[in-house]
Amino acid sequence: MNAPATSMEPGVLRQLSDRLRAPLPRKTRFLLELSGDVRALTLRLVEDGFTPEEAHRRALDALVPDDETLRRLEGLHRSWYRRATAGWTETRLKRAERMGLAAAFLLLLTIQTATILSADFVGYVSPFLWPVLASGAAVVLAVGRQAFRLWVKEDYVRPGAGLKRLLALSVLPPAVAAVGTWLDVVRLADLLTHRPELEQALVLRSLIQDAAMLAIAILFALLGGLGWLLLHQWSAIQEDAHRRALDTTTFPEE
Amino acid sequence: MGSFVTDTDFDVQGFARDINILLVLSTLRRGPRHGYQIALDVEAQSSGLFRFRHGTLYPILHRLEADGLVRGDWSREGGGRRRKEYALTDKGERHLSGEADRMEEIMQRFLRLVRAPGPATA
Repeated sequence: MNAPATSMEPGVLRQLSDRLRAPLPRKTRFLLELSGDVRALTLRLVEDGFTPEEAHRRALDALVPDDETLRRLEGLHRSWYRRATAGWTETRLKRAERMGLAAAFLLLLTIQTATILSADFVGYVSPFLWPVLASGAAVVLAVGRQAFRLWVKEDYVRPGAGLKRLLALSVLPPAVAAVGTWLDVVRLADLLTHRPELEQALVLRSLIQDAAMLAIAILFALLGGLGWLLLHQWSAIQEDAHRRALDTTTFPEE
Repeated sequence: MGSFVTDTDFDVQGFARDINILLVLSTLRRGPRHGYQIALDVEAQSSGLFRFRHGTLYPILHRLEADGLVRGDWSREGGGRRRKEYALTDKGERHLSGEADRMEEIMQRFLRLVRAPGPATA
């Protein structure tokens, strides 16, 4: 007699993982629960006198969900956001989300502008601070958007997908600030060539302006980097747990 | 005895679902069990009349867990493998009692209806 088949073949679990469109932590937990039950039921049926192959086949037949059952599981494990917007078409939902994103971007820009205006900085800031603020707002929103996708909407196949773009976007504010600083220096040099008597007044002021702009840009980059780190770590932990549940070294979608 | 069933609350479509829920809850009343044990117990206790196939047990268990009628607990077995076990909660116990009474009344009404004698023939 062959040794009892006590665990599900990775192929069966992997196939099931592909067929079940549920958020990863919950999908992983279900696969763990199912593989444990299949293993235990197989052993129990072998004890009852079935051959290992027949016991395993019966256990799979009893416990592995068919498509209809998988759809019911998907419905049960949808996020609260998905349940709340269940009556919306995908097009309407996407449009609403884009409008929300645009509104959040404008709100963030308004808050930043209001802060600068209230501190009476306008006369002292580099003109390149405005694109830095805009790109910084884009970084903050991108972090928020990914967090929303992973933790509120829970609408993904692979949680880690798309996170590299966030890291690339975080470089934008310092890049804009660096270009702005360089242009400020060129402008200042040009001005001082024609009016050297302004050197005393303008050099220090320009240094402060550009240092402030660079500091703000670095702050945005740090926010983006920290956001990326947090989301990336969470995704890596979830994907690793899923791989272990599947008893495989690669993610199903890879 | 007061009536548990009103004319509006009996859902024919959901009757099979209600039966499955009661089967799971009544099995868990005998103590915490893993999912496969629930399936085996239901089949054994009903002498094969009721069977869960193709994983239909899991949506029921997950729904009951979300509703707080059962509690799922994870434990570790040999080899570090994790297993999930379900236990009946107090809320589940109360639900089982109420639903069993309701089901009994439905079945009594149903049997009265189908066993009612026809008109006497000459």
